[in-house]
Amino acid sequence: MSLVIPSKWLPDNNLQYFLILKNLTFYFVQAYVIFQWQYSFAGWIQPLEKFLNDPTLTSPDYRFEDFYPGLVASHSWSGQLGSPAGGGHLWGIPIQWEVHILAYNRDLLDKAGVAVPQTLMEEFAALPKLTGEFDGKKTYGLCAMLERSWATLDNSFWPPYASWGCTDFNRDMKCVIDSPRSVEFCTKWVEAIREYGPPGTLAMSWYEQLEAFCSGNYAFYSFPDSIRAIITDPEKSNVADNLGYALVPQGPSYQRKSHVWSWGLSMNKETKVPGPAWLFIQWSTLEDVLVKAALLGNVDPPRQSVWLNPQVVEATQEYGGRDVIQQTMEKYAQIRFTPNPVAPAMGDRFVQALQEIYHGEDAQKALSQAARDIDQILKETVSR
Amino acid sequence: MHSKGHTLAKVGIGVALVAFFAWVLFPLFWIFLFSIKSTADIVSYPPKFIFSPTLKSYTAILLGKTTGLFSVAPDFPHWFKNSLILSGGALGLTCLLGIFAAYALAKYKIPGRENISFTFATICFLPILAVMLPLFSIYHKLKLFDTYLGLILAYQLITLPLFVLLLRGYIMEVPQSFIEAAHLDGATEWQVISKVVLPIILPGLMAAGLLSFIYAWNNFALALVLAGGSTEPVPLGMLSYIGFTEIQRGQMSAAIILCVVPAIVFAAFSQKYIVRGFSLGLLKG
Amino acid sequence: MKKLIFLPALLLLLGIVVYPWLTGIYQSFTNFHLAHSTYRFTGLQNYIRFFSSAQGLQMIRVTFLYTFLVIVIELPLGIGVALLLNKKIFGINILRTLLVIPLVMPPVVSGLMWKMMMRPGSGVFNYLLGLTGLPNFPWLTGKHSALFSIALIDTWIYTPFVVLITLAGLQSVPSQVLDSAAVDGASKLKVFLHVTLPLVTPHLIIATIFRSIDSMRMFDLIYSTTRGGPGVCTMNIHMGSYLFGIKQLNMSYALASLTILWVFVYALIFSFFSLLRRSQQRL
Repeated sequence: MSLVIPSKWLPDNNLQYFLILKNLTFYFVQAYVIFQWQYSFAGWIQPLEKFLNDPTLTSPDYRFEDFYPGLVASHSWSGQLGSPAGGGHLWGIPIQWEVHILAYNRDLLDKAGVAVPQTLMEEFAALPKLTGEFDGKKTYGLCAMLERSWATLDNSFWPPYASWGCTDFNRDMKCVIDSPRSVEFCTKWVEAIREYGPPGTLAMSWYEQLEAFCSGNYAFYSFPDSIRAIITDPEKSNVADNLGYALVPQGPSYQRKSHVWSWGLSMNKETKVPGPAWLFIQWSTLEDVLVKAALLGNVDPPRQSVWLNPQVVEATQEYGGRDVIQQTMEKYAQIRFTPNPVAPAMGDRFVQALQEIYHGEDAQKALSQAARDIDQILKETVSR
Repeated sequence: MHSKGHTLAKVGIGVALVAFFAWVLFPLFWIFLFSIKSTADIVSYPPKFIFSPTLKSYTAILLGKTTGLFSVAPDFPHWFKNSLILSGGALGLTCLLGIFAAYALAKYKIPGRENISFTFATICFLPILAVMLPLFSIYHKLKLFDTYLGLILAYQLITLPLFVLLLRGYIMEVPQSFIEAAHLDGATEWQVISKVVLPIILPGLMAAGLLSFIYAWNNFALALVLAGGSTEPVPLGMLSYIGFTEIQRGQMSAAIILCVVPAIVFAAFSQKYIVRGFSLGLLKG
Repeated sequence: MKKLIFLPALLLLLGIVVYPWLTGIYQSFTNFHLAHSTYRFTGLQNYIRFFSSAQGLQMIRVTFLYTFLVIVIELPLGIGVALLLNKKIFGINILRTLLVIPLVMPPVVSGLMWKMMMRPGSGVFNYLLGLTGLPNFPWLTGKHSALFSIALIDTWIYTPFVVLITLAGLQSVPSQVLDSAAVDGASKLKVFLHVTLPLVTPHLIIATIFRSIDSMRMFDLIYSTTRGGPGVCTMNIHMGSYLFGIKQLNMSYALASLTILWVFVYALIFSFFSLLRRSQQRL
């Protein structure tokens, strides 16, 4: 049997995923967690636990308990609105993840006389001191993007937002991004980006955000750790030599909440070859396959044994930050999206409100409008 | 006095024209510079005007590149081939059907002829997604998604009405007496069209064909919805330089330049037809 | 029988255009959503939602504002350049060839090209502004400048179109007409207003038809530059329907938006074509 792997990144084109899943062109798909929720709700992919628990299909050496429990939890969902991630069916096998940590430009912090912030209040207070001119270079305190896409939430927004005590939906699945706490945080955050953040942030993709930090002109960058290889590469990055890592700062009530992101392999519901599909998924996530993948650049392997594998440790040591990442993964990281089938659309609409605030709209008004729109999008997706 | 004012006016016209053309050409010049800069030179700010040029971006998109253990096949030739097949195929089918349709709508007494012609015109102006979104579901059922045949058929939405509309204007100009004379000589309908009408309207045929081809070549929304990895044409493929892992500005610029070069060649010999096509075809139609 | 040779073309268009399009119009009155396999008739619900939501009204506003910007910039500019070029200038053919280049490039490609140059932090335009001492301009990221910036790209692509069409019109004006007007002692402005302009009016109407309809349903440029952002500053109906249908999977709402856009476009075509007929009859 020949295997066709969709190597293409399909830019925000759900239709193509729909087609791939419906047309049986491919029998598995690699997807972000929030897309898995969408696909599982629409019935495009199928639960995997029946394959996992079938001894005729799954090798005893597979040792599923070796996967980080937090990752497995984020791929598990009952499909019932309002129920949290971590229960119900297993929709994907994790293959790659990233957690958010804080990167900072040591040189710039020293020159401004700023200590590494432990809390968000300290971080906000330090921003004005770091923005200005140092050695004839224009510098900025905060490297944060604000592109109108859910990807913005995933690229520096979730950790401070969650640490501030905010979330996207309450238990009744009503959107609460217009709660007083959220309004307070969004106002502060957007103002910080406007005053101390990159020019053109509203059209900045995560890659341009990364490029900006690599220019060496930015102090703080709350970032997904899987791109350490780029910021520590002296060829591509001017901060490679004076880079520091820290845990993401705590919120006002000393909560520290980071965000974890996981990619998983899922199976098409209508596949005619579920057995071979599962064997392929299983093979891709075997310990020694993941070790090989880690050595080739998948620096955040989903199995604990692979993360601790001496070869992998040696290969990833040069990127630094292993202890910070491990601590974050064990204590602070969790997926911050509430499971629901419209998470990407929710993210898009939320960031649209943040952009409106950036342009001077009243925060309460912009976020209330967004919350109502998100409720509407959710309603029309789930109700018939 | 008079001649001084005249000279001033001439200088003014000259300056205005130079400014306008500088504005038209500057973006192309700048992107050309990008295409021969290294990545570091592209991102450096303020922009570098003196740098050592490299052809790396061109070799990467034409011949592929190797990163680490992986070699990445070049995409650009694939997209270019797809664009040629799709636009060429679309034009071929359009000519095949369009010449007859244009002839019938220009020369026969068909009930509701003007209305049919107007319908063709309005199809030209449909918001393209209004057709593409439903067509997507239909193609999904017929398994035409991401196939050359499916896309060439769908491209008719763009090429066929335009072609018929333009050509009809030219055919209406052909004197009825020529056609009647040919009929008296015993020519069949096909002979009338191929031996009498087509030679007369050849410039019009060129114009309509070229415009249809350009519209097909430039189309994006249609491919965005209906094309997948195996049929994607240049405009769609170009977006993937804004990849998941990086934005390859150098390669994107090189690809843009490679699009512009045929465009210039094309422009050089087609501009006459393009202008005539639009003005004559539509005014007479 | 021979009269039916236009049928294959018509049938193909019926199958590939009219049938899907009518299906779409029907589905816009249902709750068709790609997350569900069935749908039912829901009447005007999608249309009511469109016209009663702030976003719907914003999309209408952007659609018309963009069209307005495009027309008021491109037509005068295009006519002006055409008048300048309507002389015996050395190398006029080369100039015309240069003018055609933006027209034969895919608009998506032009959009990507300009987006790179308009980057606020490191684009060449802000560098040039800086050289003249002006502050940074937000281009595609500003609340008020984003739509204008896209219109500017549109101007780059399509002003040559207006120039070429107008030029064709100007060159069809018989020179005796102009000469006799000049002999009568009319001033240059008067000759232009009363002799030249009426003669090229049909050409100008053609240019206006194409520019206004194409800008009303503009998709490629917006997709390749802002995708409707920042906020919803550049979200026209066409772009919005893409987001509803393809990102949110709510096909019926997307199709309702598209049907509304089509009604606007159709009204415009209809009025323009009757204008064109009348201006031709006058000649």
